[in-house]
Amino acid sequence: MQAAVHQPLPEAPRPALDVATVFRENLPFAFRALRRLGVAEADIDDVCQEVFVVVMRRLADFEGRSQVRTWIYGICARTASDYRKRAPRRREVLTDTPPERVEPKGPHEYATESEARDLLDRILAQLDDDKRAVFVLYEIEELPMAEVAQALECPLQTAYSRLHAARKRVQELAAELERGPSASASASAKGARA
Amino acid sequence: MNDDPPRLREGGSAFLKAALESARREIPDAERSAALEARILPALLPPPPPPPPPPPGAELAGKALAGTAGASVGVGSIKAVGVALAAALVVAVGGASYVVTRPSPPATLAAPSVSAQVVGVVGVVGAAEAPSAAPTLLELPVASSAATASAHAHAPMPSATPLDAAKNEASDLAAEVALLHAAQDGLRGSPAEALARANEHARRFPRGALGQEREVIAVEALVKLGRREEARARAARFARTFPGSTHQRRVDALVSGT
Repeated sequence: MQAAVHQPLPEAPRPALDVATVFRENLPFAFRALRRLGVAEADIDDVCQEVFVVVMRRLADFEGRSQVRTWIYGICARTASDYRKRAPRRREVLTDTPPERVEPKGPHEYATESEARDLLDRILAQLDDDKRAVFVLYEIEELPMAEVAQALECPLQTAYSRLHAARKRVQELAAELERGPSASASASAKGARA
Repeated sequence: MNDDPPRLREGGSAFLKAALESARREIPDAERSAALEARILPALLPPPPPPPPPPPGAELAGKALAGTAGASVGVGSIKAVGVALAAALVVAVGGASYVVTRPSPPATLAAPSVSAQVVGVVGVVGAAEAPSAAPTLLELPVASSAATASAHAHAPMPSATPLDAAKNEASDLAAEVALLHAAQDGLRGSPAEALARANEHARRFPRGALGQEREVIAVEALVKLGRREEARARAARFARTFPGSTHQRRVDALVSGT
């Protein structure tokens, strides 16, 4: 009897994850992350579905080495990256009239939340996929860096390095925009991704 | 030890603080979440189990449909006829009509006029929706008192009273029809709405009597939305779940674009 007390207890079996529950609990976070990872509003439903189809297929193999949400963020980052590679082709729409030129505005002129987000998206679009994903997961989804590295399957130091570069570029672009439309136009004209 | 730097939301410029906070707040509202769930969740769940064998009336009606639906080109309309003690549905599919009858409780045995009323209404609806199929409809045995008694001999109702059970069953059937009627209305102007209603039917009535009709509507809605891959996948699932269905030809035509 005594021996039985000292034996290590068998690890409790991890409760099976139910795909419907996982979906409902994580949809808002996946949706938000995908938007900032560059998925257009018009495509967000389709890409959300892609993410959760992957979740469904892999759920049985999920080993619980990270939080479920962290794991899903990783799937979001990879799905959004694939989306961005194919998106330019999908979004080509033939039209007879070219779009009107819109004068760039500085951040102080963006009165609404959606305008501020649009400006943020324009800044994020200047980052490459790896830096953008680290920035979004750390600065918007507010994961600890250890989880960011887990989600993106990269070494922690690499994640820190990407975050540092992404923040530097984001702050530069925001500062240029804050200096005014001419600086903003100049920033856009550079065109090079960080 | 945590070496994470302070976030820009706490130490960045006023604009970055505002933009990052705004970005954090951008999650779908309840309505958007419900629409996303209606669209995505059914694709994540295993296919519904095959429906229970149809009641005798439906089987006969299905045979009648098979004989008249060969030239069908579209899901027509769905009408529900609610009668207090007997339920009959007329589902017009591609110009032919499909009648589902549910056994009446014993209390109706002494009221043959109820059956007569159902036959009369079915005849009217059938004539209005699908003139060519009306004679077939009128030949169908609809909830006669003899058939009712026979059905009850094979299907005892364990719930409170047979009358309650029959009412619940008729109520479910009416709810199914109402939902699919709404789905079908959506096909005319809003296929996304049609698909949402069809998916709602799948969730609420996984063993419903109208699972096949729901799937036909869902496939048509997906085709109209331009989601052809999903339409083909759903059509393939339809063929596996309902082998030999009289709706198979219609489903095949939808996904092949003919």
